[in-house]
Amino acid sequence: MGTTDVAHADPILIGKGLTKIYASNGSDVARNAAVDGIDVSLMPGECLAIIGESGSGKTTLSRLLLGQLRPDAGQVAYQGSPVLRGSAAARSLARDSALVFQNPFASLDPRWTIGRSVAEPLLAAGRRRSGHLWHRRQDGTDLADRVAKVLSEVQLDPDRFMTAYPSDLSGGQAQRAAIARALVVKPRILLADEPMSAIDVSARVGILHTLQSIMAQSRQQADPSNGMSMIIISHDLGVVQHIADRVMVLSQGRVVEEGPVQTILDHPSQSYTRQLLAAATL
Amino acid sequence: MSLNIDGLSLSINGRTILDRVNLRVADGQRVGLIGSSGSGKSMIARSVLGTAPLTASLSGSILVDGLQILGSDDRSLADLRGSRMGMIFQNPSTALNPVKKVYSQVELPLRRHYRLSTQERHRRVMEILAQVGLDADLAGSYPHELSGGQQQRAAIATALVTKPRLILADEPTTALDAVTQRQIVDLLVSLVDQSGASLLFITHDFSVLARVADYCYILDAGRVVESGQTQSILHSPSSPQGRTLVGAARELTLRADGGKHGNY
Amino acid sequence: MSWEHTDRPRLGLRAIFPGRLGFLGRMRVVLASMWRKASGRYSLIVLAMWILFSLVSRFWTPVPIWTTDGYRIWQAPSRDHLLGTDGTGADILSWLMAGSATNLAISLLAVLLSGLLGLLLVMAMVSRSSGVSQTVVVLVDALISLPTVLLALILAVPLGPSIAVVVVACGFGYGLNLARIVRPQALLAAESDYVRSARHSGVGSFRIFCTHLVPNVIPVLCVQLSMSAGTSVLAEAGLTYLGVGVPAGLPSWGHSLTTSVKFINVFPLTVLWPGLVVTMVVVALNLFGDALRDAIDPVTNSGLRAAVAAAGRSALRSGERQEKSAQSNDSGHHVENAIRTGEGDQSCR
Repeated sequence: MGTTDVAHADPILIGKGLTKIYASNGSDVARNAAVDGIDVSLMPGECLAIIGESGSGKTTLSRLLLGQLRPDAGQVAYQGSPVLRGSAAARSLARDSALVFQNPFASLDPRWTIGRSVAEPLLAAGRRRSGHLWHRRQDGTDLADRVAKVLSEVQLDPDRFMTAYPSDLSGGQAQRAAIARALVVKPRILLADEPMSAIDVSARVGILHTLQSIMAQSRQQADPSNGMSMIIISHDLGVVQHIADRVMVLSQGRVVEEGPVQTILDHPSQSYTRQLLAAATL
Repeated sequence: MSLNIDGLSLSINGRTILDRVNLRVADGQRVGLIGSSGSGKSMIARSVLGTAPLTASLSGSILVDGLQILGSDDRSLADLRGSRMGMIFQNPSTALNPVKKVYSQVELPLRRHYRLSTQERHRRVMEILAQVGLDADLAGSYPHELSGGQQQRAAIATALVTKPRLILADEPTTALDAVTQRQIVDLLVSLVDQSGASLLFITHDFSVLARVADYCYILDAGRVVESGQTQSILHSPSSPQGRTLVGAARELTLRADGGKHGNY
Repeated sequence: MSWEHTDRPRLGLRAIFPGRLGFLGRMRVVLASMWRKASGRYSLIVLAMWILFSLVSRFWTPVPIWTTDGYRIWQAPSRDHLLGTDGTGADILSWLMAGSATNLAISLLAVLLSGLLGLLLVMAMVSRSSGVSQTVVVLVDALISLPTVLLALILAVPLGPSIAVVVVACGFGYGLNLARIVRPQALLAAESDYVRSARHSGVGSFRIFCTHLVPNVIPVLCVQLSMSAGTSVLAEAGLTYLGVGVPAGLPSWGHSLTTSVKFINVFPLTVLWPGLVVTMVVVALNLFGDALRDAIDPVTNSGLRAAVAAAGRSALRSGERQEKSAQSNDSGHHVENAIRTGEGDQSCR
């Protein structure tokens, strides 16, 4: 879909030979690689879809890419510098990335109002900037404005939802709130881990449109190399066909097929990809 | 076995969950019930099974093969459940008992409802496990050792082991990934067709429903807003809820002919 | 509404965090929700009377407690002595009133101590360093095998019979128990996606504990702590009977029971009154915990959610109004007032 001008830019995030091995049952005999030597690169402003069935290693791969897990082999580089534990690159990667999870009700504190949940990353960023542990004296107006603005961006009426609790929201609304929480710090990389599989099909379309408009907005920026990139993890090709630029099909920890979304849809080369395509037809 | 729901209303603490629902499943028919979350579709299944919440007040009539479910005593309902009525739930990891092996869970309905010798039971259990596509050596494993798709297969085996005549499936594919979803749906349809049982299939996804049911009901806020042949609703839904559901299904699927995707 | 203006008067954080604003208004909603249920009503009345009697007894009792009359011992209830007299001729009602202050102090201190100890232990138990968490789990499991009575007996050696013995023994024992019961709940929250995102946003562990974990274990805390308060009343009676609790001369319900219990066959009424008081209070505390849990938790109490939402909305709206009139820069008070009135006029079903 998107005609992104990414050919000349440098990748914002690169993973090389990423491998993660989980020892099953604690024994060394039955070690299986959840992620087995995967190379990934993510361009600024690009939307990369990672597709695979459950257990194919897509969530592990995403956590490796954001530096939340340490790879057993391979390396991640953010904006050209290697992401190592405690390094400056690791810190800026954490600062510049945001997460959206599968179950919106698990990703919002049930005892916090939506406004507070959405403001949390902003407050944390403010504390980090001022370097003060008890920094709270931020300008509330500015904060309220930014929270309200990001809520409107995800099509939630700030007047109604800022002070609502998650239990008063539908699945689709809660997922929008979770997306707002991720967007409020203007991340460079948005990682959405199955953002639509836990909600109703009719609400899924709304979430999809929201994500599409967010990507479109970030592409309209003056400097395309500053646009937000998105990694969307899914098991459903039908869900990501409209939003992804590039698709990576994972099976048993390996990349079985990779390419522009149109190519994958029109000329799938692997039988597994064909199964995925068949599963997504009406 | 036929299911006749007439004017079923259900309210909990004065809040109306179901409002005069009429629904029919003829003998050997596969019927779909579709609605977004909170529309009350699971409550219909629970009412048919006689497991609606104790605080719920029900009115109307639910006839299963002429037997009135509403007001029936627990004993006769328990005899019906698991023998002539089978149930499949959304989440196989919670529908299966985590501390019992697959074999004994599949065997349980047989033990409860029929007097069979150990050999006969064993033969039937292994037969149904083969039918749902589970290897014989998985019979001795615990649910957590199986993948989500295998768990749902085990749950289907548990529901079908007694050869029920009416099967209620409440979102049996929602918790699974797309490829497994398709496999489970196709498996369920072929098993139901083989046995000639009736099926009430509950879902929120029209693309799943279209493969399962010839006839469907669209539920919204506890009311049936549209019903008809699945194909005709798929082509021209008349209610706004029907249009939303069909539109969502079309947008989130690829075209079968492999042509230009997405744009309808 | 437009959110594009930049020079709006300062709203303050309270506008976005209505969950934290108007503590008094929040408590009013909570109390109203509790009052609506019979069990909540009973517990609130009994506890209010307990507090009231404790305060009043500091200044006044029907008969001064040290007034005894050797000719009027073991008397049945009468106009002069509403609940009768005990073996020294002292007024039972006055002693029970005076005792309520002691018991209230013991319960409050024991709850405070066990709450602090419990949360501290839970904080260590959910620590991300597995060394710390596993050590503390084992430590708590080991220490929990120490009976509260034995602990009190040991403490009584250096301290002698005193309130401190009861408070420390109860606070310690219940604190360990609390930690064990709260731990799974806290772990559930600690491993949730919202904590994962908070951590990813750079929120520190201590702040996550205070702002995410503690609010999410409050339902368990309510029940456990009020049960601890009830149990501490019983423990006081037991320990005082053993002679290591409240010292002779200091009125307490345990004291009233202890002095008369030997004569239960002869003068059952003198035992009945303190027994009745203790039972009523313990039942009230147990019911109080359940009612408070249901009322204080926004997940279960939709009325509280509605109140918070309405208060926040009116705070946001008042910010808008001020923007339009653009008069004062002292908006803080206006916002607070708006919040108060907003909370005052909302309906909570």
